Amino acid sequence: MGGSRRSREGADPDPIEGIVVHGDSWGESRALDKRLVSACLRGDEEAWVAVWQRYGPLVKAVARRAGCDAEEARDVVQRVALVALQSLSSLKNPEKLAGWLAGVARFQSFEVVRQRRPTEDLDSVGPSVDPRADDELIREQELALLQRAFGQLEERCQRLLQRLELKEPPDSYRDVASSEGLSETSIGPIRRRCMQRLRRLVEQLSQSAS
Amino acid sequence: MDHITEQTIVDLIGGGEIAGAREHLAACARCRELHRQWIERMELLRDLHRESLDEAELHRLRVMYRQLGPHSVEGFRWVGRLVRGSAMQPAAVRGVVSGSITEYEAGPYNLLMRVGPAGRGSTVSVHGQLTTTRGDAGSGGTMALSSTGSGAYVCDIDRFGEFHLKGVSPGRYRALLWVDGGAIELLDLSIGGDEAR
Repeated sequence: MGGSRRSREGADPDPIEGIVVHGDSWGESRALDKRLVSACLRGDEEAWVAVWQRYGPLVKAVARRAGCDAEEARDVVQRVALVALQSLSSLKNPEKLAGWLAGVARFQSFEVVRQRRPTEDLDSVGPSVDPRADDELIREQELALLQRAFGQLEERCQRLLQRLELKEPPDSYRDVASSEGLSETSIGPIRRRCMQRLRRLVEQLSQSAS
Repeated sequence: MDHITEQTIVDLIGGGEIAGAREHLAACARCRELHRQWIERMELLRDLHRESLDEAELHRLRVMYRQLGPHSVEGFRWVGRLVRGSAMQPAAVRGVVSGSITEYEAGPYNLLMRVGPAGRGSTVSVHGQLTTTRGDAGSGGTMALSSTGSGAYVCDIDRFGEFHLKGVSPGRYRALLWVDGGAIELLDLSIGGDEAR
C-alpha cells in the first residue's frame, strides 16, 4: 500500500496538465465505500442511493454477463439490494463493497437464470452461469476493480474515454475537440495519457487487492 | 527478445503507433497475452458503461431501504398490513399460502396468491395478483419474499397487478409488496410444503 501511494505521489513519468486523478488519494475510493456502508447502517437513505448509483451498473453488468436479459438484470439489482440490506451490518470488509456486490450479483444472476430455465440441464446453460466458474469470478472482481479505477480518473478523462473508447461507435476527434474546447490534434495525446492514467490506477488497485 | 512494456500496449489500444510494436506483438505470445488482457478490460468497461439505473429503479431501492433499512418503519407510509379474510386489523397476518387460491385484503387492496409446483427439485412457484378493491390493477410495483434461511426472491408486479416467482424454496417468509409509494407486508407466511415436488 505504501509503495503504491509513493508511486502516485512521486514524480509522475507522464504528467498531464489539467488532468489529475480524482480524489486526494487513490485509497479514498475504498474509504468512501466504507463511509457509505456506515452511513447506510445509520439509516442514511441518500448513502443507500449513492451506493446504487455507484454500483448499480456493476451489478447489472455482472448479471448481463451471466446471461440475464435487461429485465432480469433489473431483478438482480433488487435481489442484491435485499441481500445487502440483510448483510451490510456483518460485512467484514466494507471497503471492498464493490467486489462483494459483484459476487452477490453473480450468485443472484445464477438463481435468476436457473429459475427461468427450470427444466434445462445446468450444463446446457453454459459455463458463464456456473457459480463455480473461476474465470468468471475473476472477471467480476476485475469488473469491480475497473469501475473503481475508472471512477478515480479526473472527470474530463472519464468523458474522453467514454466517448472515444467505450461508446459504440465512438465519437469523432472533431466532435470531442469541439465540445471539450480543445484542438483536434490534442485529442489523441490526451486520450493516450488518460489510458495511461487508467493503467496506473488499475495497477495500483490490483496491488492493493493482493 | 526485449518485450514491449504494458505502457506501450495501452498506448496501442489508445490509438498510438509505436514503431515496431505491432510487429513484436505478432511474434511474441507473452506480449500478445498482455494485449489481450487489456482488450478484455476495455470490453468489461464497455459492459459497465452500457448499464445504468433509471429513476424508477432508484425509487424502488429507496422504498426498499425505508422498508427494510435500520429505520424501516419510522416515517414510512404504510398502505396496509394484509389480513387474511376481510377485516383490516393492525396485527400482521400469520397465514399459510397453499395450492388453493388464498385471498387477502389490506385497506384499499386485494391480494390473491397461489402456490404451484412449477419449480426445480423441491421448489415451488408463487403467483398472485394485487388489485384495488375496485378491481383496478394499479401502476405496478415490486413483490419480495425474504427469509433469513432461504434468501430473498424479488419480482416486479406488472401493470395488470400480477406477479410470478419461480424456484422458491418452501419455508417461512416475510412478503412485501411495494405499490403506489407505500408497502404491504405479510409476516410469518408459510409457503410450500404439500405443493413441493
